[in-house]
Amino acid sequence: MHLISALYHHWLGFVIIIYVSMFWLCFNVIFPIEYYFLGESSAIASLIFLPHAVRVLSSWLLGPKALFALIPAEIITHTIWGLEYTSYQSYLIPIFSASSAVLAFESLRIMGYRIYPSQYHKPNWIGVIVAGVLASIFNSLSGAYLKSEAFAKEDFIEIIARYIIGDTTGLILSMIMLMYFFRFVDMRTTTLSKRAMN
Amino acid sequence: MPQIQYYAQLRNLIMQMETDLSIASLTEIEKKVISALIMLSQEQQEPIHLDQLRDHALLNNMPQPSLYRAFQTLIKSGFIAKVGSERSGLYMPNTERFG
Repeated sequence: MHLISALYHHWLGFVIIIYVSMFWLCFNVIFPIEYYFLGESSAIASLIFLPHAVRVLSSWLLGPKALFALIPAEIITHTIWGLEYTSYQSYLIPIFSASSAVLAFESLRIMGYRIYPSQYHKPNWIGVIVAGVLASIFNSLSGAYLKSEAFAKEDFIEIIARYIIGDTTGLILSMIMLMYFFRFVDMRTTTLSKRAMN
Repeated sequence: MPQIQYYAQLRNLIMQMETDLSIASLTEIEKKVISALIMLSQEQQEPIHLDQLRDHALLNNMPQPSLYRAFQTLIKSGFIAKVGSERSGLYMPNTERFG
């Protein structure tokens, strides 16, 4: 437990723990619901993929050094939740997934868009969502190609669309959940302060 | 960057999203301004002057800059409306905004 506590207090460990937790939530709650309603193609790409928000927000906060957390996180989740390392492509899947968000932010930065946090401009939440969509495109193209043996070619467009919808929905839903989380923290802080004053 | 700054940056991002989408929670000061304006306008049934608001029990100890900032935010969010010319100093609550 000491190790987990120590990891939690460092950004690297924190990102890994949160990523694995979100993956657990998706795998054990969201995926079964999707499989029940949507069938076997849901195994390839979820319609609400919360871990993508962790990729995007940690890449936004940390920049390229987020890879030091995201790559291990992806390897852990892919290993625990069923990825079989049967070919060289299967080793590349977690690496490409982890890199997609960093690649998106860096691409936008090279094109001249200021999206990383800075004291010189307001936070650009629309830019974060755009980067999230771009990351999803990179992730979907690489993931669909690397997993292409698992589904028929005619399903390729549907799989790409599912990746993009799932990743973007996961990101927006996570940002909304963060909004309510921060409001809850504010309320608790105000209540505790008032009690302390009385 | 220290850990707390990551939290602050993330917090700031979400707050900006709330503000831009006009779904930010009102601050304590903004709630007091709205409350004072609603109470006075219900009594008088006409636009309320800034001086009356400043003299109200809820606002009489509030620093002027905080008061003006709250006014700007509330006007921008559509919770209150300025009445008359730019220098009239008259305000009304926008009751439609409260649902």
